Amino acid sequence: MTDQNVALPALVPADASRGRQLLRRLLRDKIALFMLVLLVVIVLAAVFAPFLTPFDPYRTSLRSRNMPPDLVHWLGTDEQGRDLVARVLFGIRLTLASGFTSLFLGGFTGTIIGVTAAYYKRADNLLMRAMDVLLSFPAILLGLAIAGIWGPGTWGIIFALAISTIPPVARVARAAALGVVNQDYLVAARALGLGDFAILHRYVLRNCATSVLVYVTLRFGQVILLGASLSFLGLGAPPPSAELGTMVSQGRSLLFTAPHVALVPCFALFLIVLVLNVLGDAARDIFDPKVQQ
Amino acid sequence: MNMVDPKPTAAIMAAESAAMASEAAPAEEPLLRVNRLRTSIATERGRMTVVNDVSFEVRAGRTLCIVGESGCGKSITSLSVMRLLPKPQGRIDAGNITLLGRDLTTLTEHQMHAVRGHEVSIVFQEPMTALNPVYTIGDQITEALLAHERCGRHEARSRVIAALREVGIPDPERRIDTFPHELSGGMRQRVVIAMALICRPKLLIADEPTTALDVTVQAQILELFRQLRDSHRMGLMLITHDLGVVAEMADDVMVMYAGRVVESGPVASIFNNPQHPYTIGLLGSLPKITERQGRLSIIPGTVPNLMAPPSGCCFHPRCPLSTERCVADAPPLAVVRGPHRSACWLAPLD
Amino acid sequence: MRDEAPILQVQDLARHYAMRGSAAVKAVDGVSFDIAIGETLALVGESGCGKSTLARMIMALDKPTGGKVQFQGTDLSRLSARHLNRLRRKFQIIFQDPYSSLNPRMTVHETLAEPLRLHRIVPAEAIAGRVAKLLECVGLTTAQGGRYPHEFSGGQRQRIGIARALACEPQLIVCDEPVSALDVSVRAQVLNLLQDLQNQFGFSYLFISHDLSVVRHISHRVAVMYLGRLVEIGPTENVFERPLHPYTQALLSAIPVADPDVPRSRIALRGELPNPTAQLSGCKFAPRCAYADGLCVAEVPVLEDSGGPTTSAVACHHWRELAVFDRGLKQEREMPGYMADIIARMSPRPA
Repeated sequence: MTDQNVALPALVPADASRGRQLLRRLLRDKIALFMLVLLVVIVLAAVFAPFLTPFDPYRTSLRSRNMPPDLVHWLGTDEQGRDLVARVLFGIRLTLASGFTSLFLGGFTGTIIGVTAAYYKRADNLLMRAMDVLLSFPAILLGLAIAGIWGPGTWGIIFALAISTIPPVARVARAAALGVVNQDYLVAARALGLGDFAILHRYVLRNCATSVLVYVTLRFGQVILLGASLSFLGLGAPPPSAELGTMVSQGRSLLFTAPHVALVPCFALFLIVLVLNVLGDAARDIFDPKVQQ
Repeated sequence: MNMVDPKPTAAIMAAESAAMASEAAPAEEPLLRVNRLRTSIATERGRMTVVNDVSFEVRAGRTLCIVGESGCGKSITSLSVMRLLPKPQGRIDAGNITLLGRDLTTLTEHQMHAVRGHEVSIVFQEPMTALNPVYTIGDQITEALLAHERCGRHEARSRVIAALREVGIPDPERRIDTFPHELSGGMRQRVVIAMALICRPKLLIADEPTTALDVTVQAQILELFRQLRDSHRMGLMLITHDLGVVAEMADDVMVMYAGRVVESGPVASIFNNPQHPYTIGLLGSLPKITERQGRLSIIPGTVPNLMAPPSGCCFHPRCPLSTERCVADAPPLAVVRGPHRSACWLAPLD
Repeated sequence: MRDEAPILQVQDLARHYAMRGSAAVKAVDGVSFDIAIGETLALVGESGCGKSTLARMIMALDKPTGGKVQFQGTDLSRLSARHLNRLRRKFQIIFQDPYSSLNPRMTVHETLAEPLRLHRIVPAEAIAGRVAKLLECVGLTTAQGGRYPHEFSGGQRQRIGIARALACEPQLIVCDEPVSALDVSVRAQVLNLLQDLQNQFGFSYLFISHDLSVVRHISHRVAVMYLGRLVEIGPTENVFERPLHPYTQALLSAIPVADPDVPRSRIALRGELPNPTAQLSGCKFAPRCAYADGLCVAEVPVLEDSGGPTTSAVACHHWRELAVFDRGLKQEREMPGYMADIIARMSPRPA
């Protein structure tokens, strides 16, 4: 409570609702706002992909192979003659969906583990050391192992990414939960006679949510890049599946003759990751501003 | 709402000169004279004036206590004097701060470096955050010394040991090489005081220096302040919310509310004969240590929102004596009796 | 008050923390006292004296390493977790820091409804009504029930904390420095509230504080702690007007009084609180006491009655020989009439 330099908690009245407070902070950050709009556009494009292009992303055409961008195919065609706009749209769909799924799975599991470690001191050491072990596996190794056991595929990538997300999320959740566990309101909950489950759910998790959310949004971009790398290495679903990483890999050999085949999916990835990174950063400032009032 | 002071009438000017004549203090110049200081802080919702038209003086060998509750602007006042406001949110909007003849508001940051620690020092509430945990206390005090004076290593060390002894740290030759975490709260605060005084500043500002300390340690530290003020012949500006500390330490008192000075004067006069309803309410709500009372009296209402301060007198929404004039015009800090001033249209209240 | 069985009995309570490499830290080292029904016992001491640890053990949030806590005759350490949780509604706690004592993600209504639901104090349909009554009890409105803690001031949050404790219909409330973090003018409001509630509902308070003027105002008896032990315990007037233990005397002399004409009588305590792991034989206060001698260092003084049922008990070998301590607080100056008048107009007596 006492910040000795500027002790102002009593002066500025708190907002009527937290939602409005968050909204105001978001609106003030023009770049974040722009990126949010862009993200919405990208997501809508991914959702409505089938309606946005007349071309079938899987239909090959030997006649129109490696065609540069023109008025018919806006971004050109790939080495199998498939329209790149369609391929990229469906690729974005797959990328976002698999990124989101792996974040959700990894985030959920990691949060449970982290909060449990913080609340039950006896389990803390065991759980966190297990997390350290998991953390030392590079995602690529995990991807390779899963692909080796179950064959390449999108779900393999999702699981590999989910597993590599668990340890950092667990650490963040644990740190946040440790902060909560020492607060008086938690002691008050115990003094009321509340059981562990109720306390974990209503008191601990609710107060850790923000920290975990901020971390997860920051990690989204990373996960997308990792997923693309894994599918670039051939661990993703085999063609004709439209995965951005696989597309880049297939266009590699044509880099000097038909560069657009590799560069278009590359650029799509760049755009997505840029938007997500900026928003992830902005999320931290919006949810948890460290700026002195 | 910014109220410009009405032009001083002849009556007020006569009272002022009478006040100056009757002041018992010697005719020397005050160490610090703050005149109509106004400071504002930028918040998420706009700029807020947190110190509004504040004027006071601190003289050598005397203690001025600035007292008020949280949000009244007393800490920001001290930070303004030291030019330590958070940048860029904090800003001195108006007024001047004259320290030993120099106006601090006109100095550059570089020039202020020479002033801070050398002519005026400040001690804060939390000694643990005032000290750097990775350096020994000897290193930190030496750094404060060498920032302003040229000194050889051996001479510096002996001066630091002497400073530690002066603030009452036992076994200073050994303690000089300890780290802050090895000391108790009271000891750390003494170290901070030693650091503040090593260059013999003329003015010491202490912002709630004992609030975080135990009662017995607080008594020791306050006694230390008194001794040092007398032996160094310093001026002491003590900021606190504890009226007991004010009664013990102050020669002069300044009561602040919602960023303004509502009353100022010698300590006996303020406690025995307060002339502002806020001061009276404050004194009345203290539980007496001498006896058990039935119910404590309170000041109804809450502190005003500084983003939308009340019109006229800042205290009028809570004042049982408020009149139409109080709602319309902000009263100036006017002389009531000698050096005792009050910002109330109804003063004198007795 | 004295004839009924005490609501709380603490016997030889101790909490030792084993430290690797050095001796155990004895945060609480053999404390015994009772609290009667409807009584306010104040627990006074400086940091490191163990009062927070003691409070946690009384609230059964921490297991003692020695001694026992009996609530209404039941030994708390012998209860199963389920029984203990059910009994918890009878003893509640109010915290010092209003900014960390409420769950920031629960509205006031949810915070107050929680104990009502948990202990089935009222049927589900009646919860909203009871919450409204609780809010009214502490001076807040029903509309404010839908807000979150960060929208309230420190004093208001403290009231919400009090309402939460009240919701359980407890018989004992431990108040851990409930007004220390509040402004002076807000303090008075909360203290009045605590007294009114006690008059209305008849519960007991264990009032922990370092602010002796607040203690004087609100408590019936005072217990003074130093380094894990009780050094003096007795009726408030006795402890304040005739303190028997040198530490109590030093404590009283150290408080600044809000009256510039009261002479400052300083009993200077030597030195500082010792390291918590230091092994001290005999009286723990001896190193800082001006009257200590060989006996003090050799033998631990025991709390002995100074005689009579209404006088204090003190743990000192030499209390009989010590000079009578007079803080010079007896003569209370008459407040000037105009001041009393304005103060009365600020807070009119309740009807």
